[in-house]
Amino acid sequence: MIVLVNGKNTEVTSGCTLEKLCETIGIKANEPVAAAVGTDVIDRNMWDATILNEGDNVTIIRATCGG
Amino acid sequence: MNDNLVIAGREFSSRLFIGTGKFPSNEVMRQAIVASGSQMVTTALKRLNTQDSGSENILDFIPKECVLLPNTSGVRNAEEAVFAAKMNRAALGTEWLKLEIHPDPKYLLPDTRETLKATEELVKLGFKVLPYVQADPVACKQLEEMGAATVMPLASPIGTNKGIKNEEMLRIIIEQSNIPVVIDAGIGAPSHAAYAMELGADACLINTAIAIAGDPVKMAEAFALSIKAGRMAYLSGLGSVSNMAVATSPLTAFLDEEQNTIDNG
Repeated sequence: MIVLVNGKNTEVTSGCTLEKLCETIGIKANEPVAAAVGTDVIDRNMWDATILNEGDNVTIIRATCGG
Repeated sequence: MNDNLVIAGREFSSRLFIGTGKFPSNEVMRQAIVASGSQMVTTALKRLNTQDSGSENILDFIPKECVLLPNTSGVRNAEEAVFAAKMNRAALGTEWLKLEIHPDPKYLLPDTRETLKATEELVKLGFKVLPYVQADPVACKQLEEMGAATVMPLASPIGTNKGIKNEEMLRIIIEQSNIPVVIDAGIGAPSHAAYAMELGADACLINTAIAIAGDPVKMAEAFALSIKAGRMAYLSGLGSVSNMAVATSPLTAFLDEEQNTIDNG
């Protein structure tokens, strides 16, 4: 099925969790990242319990340099 | 004497906050933060490039004892700011937040209406909100009443290095505020920062002036010294200003006596 990840159509397997998606992208355990499905920000300890649905809009951000 | 700055119950012995944008490298940034002695360091957030998630981890370059102050740069209104705040909290595990809403990319001036709206909401959600704001004394009092942890009025537009262009308004904000006043944006030289502190500001947030300096590490130290000097001067009580000369030595009496000697000789 297709989900939108940071605006890009991305193919994932049916029943894919947010945890699995982030692992596939290459996000490491200690990285300062956050993820939301739609406008719901999902705490990291809930990624594994968050099953993605067809057409979900996933936003993933990373802390970076800025003033 | 303990002159620590207290924000939302947390004590800071340094009154210099550092922004992490525009440094030539993360390592130079790390060295500059260390040289500055800062205990409050800002971060931003960006969308992860899903094709290339392997860039450096900013947290590896910020001393562990620093409080992280993530910002909401890039948002255009209160709704987006609340979303960005929640994302920051999830990414960094902190409730400290530099709220900045500046929809106009030319001058990056904060949107007062949206900043007030977002502050009210974020305080309810438990964030320690440090809003970047116009040097508007009325808005600053409203933010204080809403529960902002500080107000952070600009000195001049972000990244311009022009220094303090709104001194009278900053004076009123400082005089009226019951929460710390942090001068944010536009401070371009240590002399500007010292002057802000002499006016009674509680702290300064500096980014561009350090990051784009010829030697950012040395400049960070220069800012640390200037902020200490400005604070000390403020606490010491600056002398009054006069339009007429006021002699510092008994010159007249000395000349009179000499004149007498010549006359008598």
